[in-house]
Amino acid sequence: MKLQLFPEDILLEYAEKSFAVSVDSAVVKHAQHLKHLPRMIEFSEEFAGRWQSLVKSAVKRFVADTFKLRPFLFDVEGYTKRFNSADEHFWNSCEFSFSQRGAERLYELLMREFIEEEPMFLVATPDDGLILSICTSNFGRYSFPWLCRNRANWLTQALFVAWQQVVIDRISWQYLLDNPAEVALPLREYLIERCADLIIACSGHMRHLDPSTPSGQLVDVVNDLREDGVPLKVSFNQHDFSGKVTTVRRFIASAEKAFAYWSGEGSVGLDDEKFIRGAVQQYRFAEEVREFEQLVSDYLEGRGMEGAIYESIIQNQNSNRSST
Amino acid sequence: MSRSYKIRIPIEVLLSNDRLDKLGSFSMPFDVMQILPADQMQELLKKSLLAAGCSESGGKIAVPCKEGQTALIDLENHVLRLRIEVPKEYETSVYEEILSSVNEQIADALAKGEQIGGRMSEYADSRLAGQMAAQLRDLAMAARKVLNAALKETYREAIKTKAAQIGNVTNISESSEGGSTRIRIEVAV
Repeated sequence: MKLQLFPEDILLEYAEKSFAVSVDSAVVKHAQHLKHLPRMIEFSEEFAGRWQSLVKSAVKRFVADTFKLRPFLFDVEGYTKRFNSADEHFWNSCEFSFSQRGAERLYELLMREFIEEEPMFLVATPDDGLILSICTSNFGRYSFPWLCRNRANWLTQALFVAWQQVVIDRISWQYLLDNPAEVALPLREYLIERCADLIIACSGHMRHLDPSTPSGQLVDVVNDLREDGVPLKVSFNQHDFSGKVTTVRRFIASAEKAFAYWSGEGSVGLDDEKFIRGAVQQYRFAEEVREFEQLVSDYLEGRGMEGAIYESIIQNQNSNRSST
Repeated sequence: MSRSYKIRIPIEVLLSNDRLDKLGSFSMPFDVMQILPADQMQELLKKSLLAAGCSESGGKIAVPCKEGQTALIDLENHVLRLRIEVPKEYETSVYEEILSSVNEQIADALAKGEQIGGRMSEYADSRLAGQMAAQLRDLAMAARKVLNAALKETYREAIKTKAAQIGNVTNISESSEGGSTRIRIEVAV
């Protein structure tokens, strides 16, 4: 029996399945014949059209799944308004740029068993990177300096903020707080929410620290307080307590500086600074910081008290020893 | 090559009752700010502790604890008294060639109501002391937490009562920051 294989069709089938279940579980119908496909292909014009429409609808679905109907701030003729993914203005505010490089990288993933090299993930546009991140369920390949350098739109950046797992000593999106002028208005409020969530996660971690075992407590905290939001996963990879606290305090300082910039000299319209100040209050950033600091002092006090009590018990055991 | 056997030795053969008592108990004092006269402060603290789930036991207040542990708050003397049951037996290993003589020593000590002494007793003492100190520390921390929360509640109530003695309380607000609680009471005199 003769079987004719069309790599472009197989790639589109692979892309569709990868969007649904990630590349690791995506199995194409003719998987057993993949070895006969060329290692590289040149895409036809017809494929380009089909690819564009497939990825556009996939990204739209992904945005809707991620942010649901969460409103974002936009500047409309100097005044701040809120729009969500059901509004036209939301989508008009950003342009996606999907190139054939995204398709090439996905093809390399499809053929990874037969191509010995890793796909060149960074040879892509930020939006191709978004597609590849969705397909592989891995948003950690693209850094914020790279996304900003390659002019990722605010929504692509917001999706990376939402899905990147945070490691406490290198919070990837802290880059945006350190460079607040590069952050578009819709992303600013979302970052404020995310910053507050991160501090809540840090406080959650503090609550589980046992002062009697100050080292060796590495845990991941998932902050899923917001029902409609993507849970924030934070890995606490630092052993020493003071190092951990210093890192969080550095992050807080960075966030406060960015918030001050956005509500001051960095405001974009006539009234957005009020919205930024309102968001800082709404997400209780200052209160969450205070709660964190309270937990730090409770922990230190507990550790001090515990040590003193233990010392007294030992002294009591060894006082007036008459017999054993 | 000698074989070694695990044996369980009654603890009273290794350590005296006084020593066991010392290892299993600990008392720590606590302060109570005299915002109101001592008897009123005592009464308020007792009320707060009972509201927090503690119970009265022989004139003292018992903090809920695990089985085999007790934490009693002596309100009159401002002392927290902790006690943990010491294990009834001590497990150790002895070589077969001395097994029978050790057994004889144990039987003899039990009959006379004495301790066998020597390195075995010293080793049991230091091991047990470490275990008990850690358990007492954990119990002390847990009991202090209950006591501290009750003291906070007591001070809150005492300040309100004190303020009411000056005039009409018109507003009460509270805030916590950096490990300290501020209570602001406005009084119309």
